[in-house]
Amino acid sequence: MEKLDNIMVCMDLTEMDDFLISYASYLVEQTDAKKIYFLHLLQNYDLPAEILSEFPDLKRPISKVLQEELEENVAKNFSHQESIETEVVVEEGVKSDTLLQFTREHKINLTVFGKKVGYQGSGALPRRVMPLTPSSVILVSETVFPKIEKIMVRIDFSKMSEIAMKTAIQLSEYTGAQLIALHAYRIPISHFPQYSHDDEKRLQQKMTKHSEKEYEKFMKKLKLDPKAIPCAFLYDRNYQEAQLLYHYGLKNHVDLIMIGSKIKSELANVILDRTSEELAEVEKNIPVLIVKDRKQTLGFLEALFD
Amino acid sequence: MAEKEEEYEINPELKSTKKYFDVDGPVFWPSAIVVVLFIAVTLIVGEPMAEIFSTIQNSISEGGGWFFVLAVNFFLVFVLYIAFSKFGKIKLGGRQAKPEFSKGAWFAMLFSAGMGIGILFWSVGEPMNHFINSPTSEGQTVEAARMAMELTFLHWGLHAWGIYALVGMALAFFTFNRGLPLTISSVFYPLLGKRVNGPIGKIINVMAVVATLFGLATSLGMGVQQVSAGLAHLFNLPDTINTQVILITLITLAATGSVVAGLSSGVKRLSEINIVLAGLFLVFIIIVGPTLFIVDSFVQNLGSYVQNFFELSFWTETYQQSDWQNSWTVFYWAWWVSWSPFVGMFIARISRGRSLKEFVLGVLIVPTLLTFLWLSAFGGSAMFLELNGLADIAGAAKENVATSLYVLLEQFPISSVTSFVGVILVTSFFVTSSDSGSLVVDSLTAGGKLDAPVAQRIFWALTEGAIAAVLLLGGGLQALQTAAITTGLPFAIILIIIAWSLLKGLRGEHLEMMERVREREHKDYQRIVADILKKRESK
Repeated sequence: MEKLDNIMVCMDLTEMDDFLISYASYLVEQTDAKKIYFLHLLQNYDLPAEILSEFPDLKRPISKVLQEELEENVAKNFSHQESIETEVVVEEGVKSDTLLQFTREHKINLTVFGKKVGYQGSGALPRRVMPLTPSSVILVSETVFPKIEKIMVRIDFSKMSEIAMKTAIQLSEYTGAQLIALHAYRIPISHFPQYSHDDEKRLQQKMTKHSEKEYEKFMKKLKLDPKAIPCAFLYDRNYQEAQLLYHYGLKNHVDLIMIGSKIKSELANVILDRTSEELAEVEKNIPVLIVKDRKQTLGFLEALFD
Repeated sequence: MAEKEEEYEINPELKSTKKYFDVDGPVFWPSAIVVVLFIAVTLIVGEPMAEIFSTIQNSISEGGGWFFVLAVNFFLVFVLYIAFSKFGKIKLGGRQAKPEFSKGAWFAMLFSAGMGIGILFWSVGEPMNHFINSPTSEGQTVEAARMAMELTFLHWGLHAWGIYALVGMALAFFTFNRGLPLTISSVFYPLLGKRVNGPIGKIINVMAVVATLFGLATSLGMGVQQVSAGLAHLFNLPDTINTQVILITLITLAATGSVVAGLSSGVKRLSEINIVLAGLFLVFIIIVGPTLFIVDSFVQNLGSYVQNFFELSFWTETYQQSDWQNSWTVFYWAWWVSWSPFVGMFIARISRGRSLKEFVLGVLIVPTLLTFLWLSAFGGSAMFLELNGLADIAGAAKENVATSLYVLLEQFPISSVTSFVGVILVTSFFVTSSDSGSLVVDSLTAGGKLDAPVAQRIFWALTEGAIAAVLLLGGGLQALQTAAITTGLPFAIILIIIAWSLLKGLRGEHLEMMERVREREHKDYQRIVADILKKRESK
């Protein structure tokens, strides 16, 4: 289990930044983070000549001006400047590469990204970076109010689920949030297609029982009482686990969905597992925390690119 | 990415500048020579030509039947893949393009372009023929009736529209999104690059012209047979080849008049009248015919079509060892393929502003359902009368398929009026098909220009009439079917390559779309930075 020592907030100079700073402020308040970075990746900012001509006396580099702007914004919206070390950084270079390098160098444990619902933005950077970064990632939309009173952890009894559960417990200890778990199961493909509606119901019951046993084993392995964290076992009939999680989270007034994510390589790309990726895509009203295993990710990337 | 766009040569205005004759020589002359040679040979050889047509049709159908069956299925799967893939969001004409026509007008135009004369000719005749001579069961039984409607649905259903959707989508994409001329060769740009303007491109366009001409001639020939049968029915005029040739001459002249009048006046109004008349005709049959049977059969036929879709689609008559499929299914697939440059071009022109998903689903579903309703109304009524022993429409259809519509109408009130309306409808469909067909062929032979001198269009209108007349003289219906099959085969191969080329083009478009998003974000970013600079530097 990793401590949330270093948090990084990715800012893009839009209105979204205000919401992210407020959310980060809340996170810092709830955890014992040591340092928080507010990072802006300076894009190739070759401003059109007509704009530059308006500032003939501009002596400072543009990055400096932007940094001042960000610092002012942080000072205005971040309420824990005294209790935690804060640094506003403006970095240049290829966005995803720079971000990953920064994450590694500063041993970032949690990266905060904005997820624009109403504001314009393609979300291309988080999509590109999420599989590659060794840090965990939280996606927060501008519609979210900063509070964590109920956390839902998605589990599939894997190693990554264990890490997600441990992180969730740690977060709930910080915030006092109630914890619930969710496991979505499918009927094994070997049963297709020869079952009737009754068979399906019977198999569903069988799968639920099997999942309950697995959950007990899973919790025992973590030295936890299965009853302490109630788990819902849902039948993923349509092979749309992300939608199921979203729906269940909304219905149960969850403030944070956590999922342990595996990464894998596909056609020379590093990608997240399908559920994490889809969840990051569909989720708009509840923040999603994608928990990564730093060692696994770093090891995987080194093995892939060495 | 700007480089990518430059790769595609945008043809400026595609406006004709010449007064009398403005042709793309390497396309116009070979096409004209092929057609004139065909007419001359048929006239010189005379009677034995029928035998030759029959031999050609049989050998192509027997050898290439499996290919047609496989190809049309591929086209359908391909367009559905495009609709539901990431490419489905691409808009014809670019992001800002708005549809030119309301959905209702769009569907009506799609339907009339795709089916036109053909459906008037076959909607009664085809189910009746299958009813008598069923490929899977004993004729004139309930099972034969069910199968007859199912097979008719197969021939007029999604596969036909899949072919049109493919050609229409490719033409619309390369014309509206890439600024290339509205010719079949433009579709090959991703594969051939600038060579589309060279010999290969010209050969492709010649093939498209010949396929279109023969596809049109097939429809026109059938149309005139039906007009002739209608006149015989109404006024006891002799229904002979000579009458049909005279009718072709007269109607072609009328079409030529409409060509001279131009698209905006004559044909447009005539097309609108056609749609209204056809709609009234359909409603009339549903009301005066066996309404409940029609509605019931529409529902059941639709269910059977869905249920047996795959089996029927891939059926190749392997174990029957008969040649039923050659003269029906294979003929239809070939006819639709040879008719596709014409319909595709028309569909392309009316579909600007639609997303590819909307385009494919619109082109596939609505016209198919309308066609099925038409077939259930006319074919279903005939079937009802047959099954209840109220009329011998099947016998009439067997004797002369062109008369079957009138024999059906005879069973209902005011038959002389409705038969007359039928004749008028077929005639006006003839005129509009001939006119818009001439426009398409003319555009293809004038390098994509849409306002080439009228004299050229008159030439093509007369040529289409001549081909239809010569085909009738050279062997009647069988000659018409042979024409469609012979030109359909090579064009089906072209369609497969079109699918490949379109996929390549769409991939490029998708990449550009993503690039545009990035560019927009970059511009937004520049604006934000500029605003911050203004704010901080003015302090």
